[in-house]
Amino acid sequence: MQAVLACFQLKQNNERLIDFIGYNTKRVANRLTDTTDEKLLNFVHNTQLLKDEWASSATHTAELFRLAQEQLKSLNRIAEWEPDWIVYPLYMCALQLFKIAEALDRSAEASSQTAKPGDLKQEGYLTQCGRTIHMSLNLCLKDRDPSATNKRYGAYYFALLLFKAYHKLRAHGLITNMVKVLESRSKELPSVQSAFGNRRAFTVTYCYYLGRYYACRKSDYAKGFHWLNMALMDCHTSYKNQQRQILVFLIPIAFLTNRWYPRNHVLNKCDPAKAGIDYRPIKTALLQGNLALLDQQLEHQQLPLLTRDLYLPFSHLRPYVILRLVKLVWKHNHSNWKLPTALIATAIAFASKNSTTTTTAATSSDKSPANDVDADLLDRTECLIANLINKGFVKGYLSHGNRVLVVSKTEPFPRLVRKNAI
Amino acid sequence: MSDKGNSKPVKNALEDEDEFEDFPVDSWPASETVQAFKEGDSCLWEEDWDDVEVEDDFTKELKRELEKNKQ
Repeated sequence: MQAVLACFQLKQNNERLIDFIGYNTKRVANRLTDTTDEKLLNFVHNTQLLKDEWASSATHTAELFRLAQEQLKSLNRIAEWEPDWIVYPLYMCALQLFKIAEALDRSAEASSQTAKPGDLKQEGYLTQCGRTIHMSLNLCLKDRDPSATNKRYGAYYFALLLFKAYHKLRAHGLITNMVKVLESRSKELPSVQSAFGNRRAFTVTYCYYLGRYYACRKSDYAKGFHWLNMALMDCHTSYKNQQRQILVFLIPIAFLTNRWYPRNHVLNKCDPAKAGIDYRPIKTALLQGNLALLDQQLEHQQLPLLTRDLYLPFSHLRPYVILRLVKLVWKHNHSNWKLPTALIATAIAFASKNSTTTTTAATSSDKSPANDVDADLLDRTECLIANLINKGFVKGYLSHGNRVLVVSKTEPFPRLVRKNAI
Repeated sequence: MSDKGNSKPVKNALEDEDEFEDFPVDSWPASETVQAFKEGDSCLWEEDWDDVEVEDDFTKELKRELEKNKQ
């Protein structure tokens, strides 16, 4: 116990304290004559009760959760007046509460299948745990100590746990609020990488969740790419599962931000059986201008895309596939600056049909194919082209009267690929 | 009523998303990161989308279709 108390006196973390926090480690002999600090006594008392509960129940109980929550609350009260050293022990305490809550919610979910209709749904443990961890986040953020030993960097540690908890609860509103608070305080906080230092597992996980938030919830692909790329770059080379999980998001976002598409060895890391999403046909669609293939994939992979909030980013790939087609038609038309809308419409109609229907369409329209392109199709094609012009993908204008796309002679298709600075 | 019965599996399927896997260790040196083993992003990504041209069955068929329609 002396070693534990010494941490608070010397303001230094050590293994003994981390060990003491654990509910499943041995009870420490109570020799509390060395301190009169009420907050500290309270923390020690709560921790001993927690250990006793585990010793008698040996399973995750509601009481174990309550005591772990009391333990974190009492350490929160101490932490308010402590400098940076307290962050890691406080994090370990919060992590422990998170794990108990996770286990309890899991078993509650299993037993909820036996719940009768009309039973009131109780508030989940993870929700309660989130509120207590949020206090830890706030006390770090509100640390006004101007010295280098302030604990503001700790905000990232608790944000990391809250990302996990909110993500599990699918509490997107809470994630948005938390990110907004962190954004508003960004000037007072160190960088993520310096806050976590060598604890790169934390950096990777934090950046993964933040990247997903920007890319999939806010459609801010540039920020999404920044954070997801940082997650991948900091990941350990041997942890292939985590790399795959990051790549599932990074692959579409890298295209939407920079028009970069994955090399084959990167695609191989994303085994569709494990990743849940098959990127190979998507890559083909983007290279060929194959609209039917893209649409077919959007339909086939709808559920895995929706569960990962990737459906919207995927649908944003469509204009690029259309652009590919327009470019192909332009080249086929000897790079002429006047491009008949009918020709583009033909290409779009062809690329929108799968191979079997294409054959049928081709045979049925062999009388005078150009005239078969009806006004409605031309109007829809003009709409698609107008969108490309509006996005800056095509430089030119539409002549509706002549049903022609007139493209710039100098730069009809501005370069969209962002060149790597390295 | 039947809608209620059908909505549960869909809801569960939507919630069954894989969570980010925990790492077995917290720390590793910079020399063991993906960054250290790559020479920048160019090892992961193709950066030729503006210029790359593919010649396969799809594009050949498309060109035939365009040729037919040009006449």
